[in-house]
This record gives sequence, C-alpha cells and structure tokens, in this order.
Amino acid sequence: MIPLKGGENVKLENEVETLYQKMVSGQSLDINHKMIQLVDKEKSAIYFASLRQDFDDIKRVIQAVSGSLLLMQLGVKQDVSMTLSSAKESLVHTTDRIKDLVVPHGLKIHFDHLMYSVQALNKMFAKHSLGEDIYFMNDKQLEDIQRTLDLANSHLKKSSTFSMGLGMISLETSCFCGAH
Amino acid sequence: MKNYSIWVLEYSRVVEYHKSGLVYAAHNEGYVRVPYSYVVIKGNGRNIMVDVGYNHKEYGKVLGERFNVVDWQSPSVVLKEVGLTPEDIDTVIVTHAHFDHFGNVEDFPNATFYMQEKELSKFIWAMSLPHQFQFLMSGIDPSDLLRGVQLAKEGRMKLIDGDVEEFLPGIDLFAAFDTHTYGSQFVRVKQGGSEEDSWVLAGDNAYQFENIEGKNQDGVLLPVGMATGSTTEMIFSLDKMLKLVGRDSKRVIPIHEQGITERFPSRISDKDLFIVEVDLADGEVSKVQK
Repeated sequence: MIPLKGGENVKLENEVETLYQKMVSGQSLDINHKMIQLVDKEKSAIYFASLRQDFDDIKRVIQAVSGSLLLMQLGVKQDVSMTLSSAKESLVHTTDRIKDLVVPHGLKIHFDHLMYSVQALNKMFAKHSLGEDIYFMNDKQLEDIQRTLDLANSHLKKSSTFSMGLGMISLETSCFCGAH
Repeated sequence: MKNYSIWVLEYSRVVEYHKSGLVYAAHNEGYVRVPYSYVVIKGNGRNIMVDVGYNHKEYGKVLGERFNVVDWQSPSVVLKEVGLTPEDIDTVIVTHAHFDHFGNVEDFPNATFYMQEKELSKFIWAMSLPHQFQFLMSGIDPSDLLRGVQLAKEGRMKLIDGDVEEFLPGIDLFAAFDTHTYGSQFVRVKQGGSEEDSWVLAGDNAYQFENIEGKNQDGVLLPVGMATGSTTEMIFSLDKMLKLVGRDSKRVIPIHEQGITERFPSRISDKDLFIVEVDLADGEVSKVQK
C-alpha cells in the first residue's frame, strides 16, 4: 500500500493503489503514454485519486449552469436558484482545494487545463451574479455566459483525455454499466 | 395500409455486458452481447429518428478500453444502409438524455429535437443536490447540455409535457416518468392510423425481450437493471406499452436486444452492424432483402 499523509482515508488509499497498479501494469488509460513513463507513478496515482472529486465538481458546475441556461432558453420557468447557488458553492470549495494540490512533475499540463476551467468559471461567477436573474439577462450576457461555459468545458474535456477515471460522463451509472 | 417504414440500426455494441445491468436482479446470469442502436421511421414525407447515439470522437478510447465497446460507426455510414443521410433527418425524438441517446445532436443539422420537459428539469434539479446524491445526475454529459443551449437558441429543441397523441400523423409519444430516467418517453407508430397494426419503440424502459415477456416468457414483467426511477413505475410503463399494441409483446421493440435480428428480417452491413426491418411502408423497397 502506498503511504499517504496522515488524515487521508482508506477509500482514497485503495483508489491510489488501484491507479498505481494500473500504471505499473501498463493498463493506464492515459493517452499520453510517453509522458506517463517519465512521471513518478506513485505521485501520479495520488494526484489523480485526490483530484477525482474536484474534477466531478467542476463538471457539475458546468452541468448546472448550462442546464439552467437551457431551461431558460426553452422557456421553462423553474426555480434554478438552488442549483446555481450549489454550483457556486462547489466552485468555491474546489478552487480552495485545488490550489494546494501537489502536482507531480510531468502532469503540470493536465493541472493547467483544470485550472483554466476553474478560472473561467470563477470569472463567470464574478461577472454575473447568476441567481434567479438568469431569467432576466439580455442576449449579450447570455452569450457571454455560454461562451465561458464552452471554454471551461473544453478545458475540462482536455484534462479528461488524461483519463485515469476522470471521465466527462459517469459511465458506471449510465447505460454503459457493463464495466467488468 | 402502411404509412411508415421502421428500421433499427445498430451503430456500435458491447461484446460482453452484465445481464444484471439489463434485467433487474438477474444476478450471476453472466454476460450478453448488447447492441447500441437507434431507430429510423420513414414515411408521410418525414424522416424521423428515435435517439441519435453518441459521438465516438469524444469517448471512443475510454469506452473501447474500459467497456469493450466496439465497431462504432458514424450516422452517415449507418444511415446509408437505409438510403438516408444525417441531413435528411427532420425530426428526432429523444427517449431520454443519457449521452448514448442524446450525445450526437451535431451530426443532424436539419433536425428538430423533442424531449420531455421533466427529463431536463429533474436532471437540473438533481444538480442542486450535494455530492452524496451524484448517482441521480449520472449519464449526462455537460457537452450535450451546452449543445442543447445552442439548439434551443436556433429553435431546434422543443420540450414536451406528458403524452402527445398524434405528435405526427400516426405517431404518439408517451411519457414514462420516474422510470429508467426522470422523464423518459417511448413512441407508438400506428400504421394507417390503426391501433391494431402498431409498434412501440421502447427506449431504455425495456432493454431485452425478457423485460417485456418475462423469464422463459412467463409473462411476468421485469424492470431494467439500470435506473434512477421506480421499479414499480417501470413495470406499469411496460404494461402500458403492451396495452398500446394489443398485448402482442412482439410489437414492443427493445433496441438493446440482439434477438430482434432473428425476430424480424435483418442483415449485417459490411461494417458488421445489423439492420433490422421492423416494418415497411407501402411502396418502400426492403433494405434487408436484396
């Protein structure tokens, strides 16, 4: 078992061990095999396992805002304030957590994609209050939000191509539940 | 009189899939081959699709390596087997928002997409829930939502509230709330407007014949193995499908069932994907019998 800093839980340790074994046995899902040869496998496993919740939270923020935008565009009068405030809160926590993450040598490019995504979303929330007022925004404001979401999503997608379980969709719980 | 041709077109497949993912509580029953398909309905001057599959460009590697998904082909290759192009499609009925059904809207530039309002609104509600509820918002790709925003701006996405009889002449939509997903729907096609000669396209509320016909065809309805909704609602929805086709289970089409290739005329394309001809409109030439 790879030793983790005190306070890390067993679940995370197990996840790190699984990722580590994947990399050691050459079954890594990373597309960048060349790079993965150069990085410290233990540190990388810890990095990816620690990042999973942040990745999922960033994805959820994009889902929540784009989903609210979609409902608005389609004229569905649904109270999305809880969805948006929960997304905002997630983003604050993720931003806070991610800044202290130890990035192994060779994976900075991965981390940068994630950071660009987080920065874009933070900028969006700073510029637009994004509450119930989403229903009263003009076309220009909405286009600005959509553009930012597209940008955040494309960076997140780039970071998901490094995979290690960081997928844009939860395959295990959708129709592709045939993992074995 | 038959107004519509109906084809089930395989676009990819999983070679070995847990049976328990398809039929509720089918534990230790091994694996089955699961086709990934969409449906084309052609007739009355329209080219309609039920679902659009997913875009392999974004997920191909992960799906291939992690889930043994093979042989994906683009809609232009798949639709060619029935003499259509993606540009010909004018209407898409989305049975539910999971990425493998709603994940390729960009390939259909002339289509208008129809989804149940509840499917979207409940998924977006689920996103307001804390981390521990993540299961409830599964299967949705943020990229699809963003494309949806664009479709809505262009007036190419419409929401439906509940059942819509005669959505198009001879075609009814039925809501199946709180089943496989929050706002799933399924489709009935009535040939010549007749309820006696009709077909139900089940979406993912029936994966296999077994869901509709029971184990060993004992007639006991079985929910699908993967859902965020209620097993009770799934069973009632399966029963509704049967009622809509005069309880003739062979008229309910589960698109993830490999056995439909034997139940209906079919052939294999040169890409090793099946084309199943469920029914043919008057005057239409068969696409499976040469």
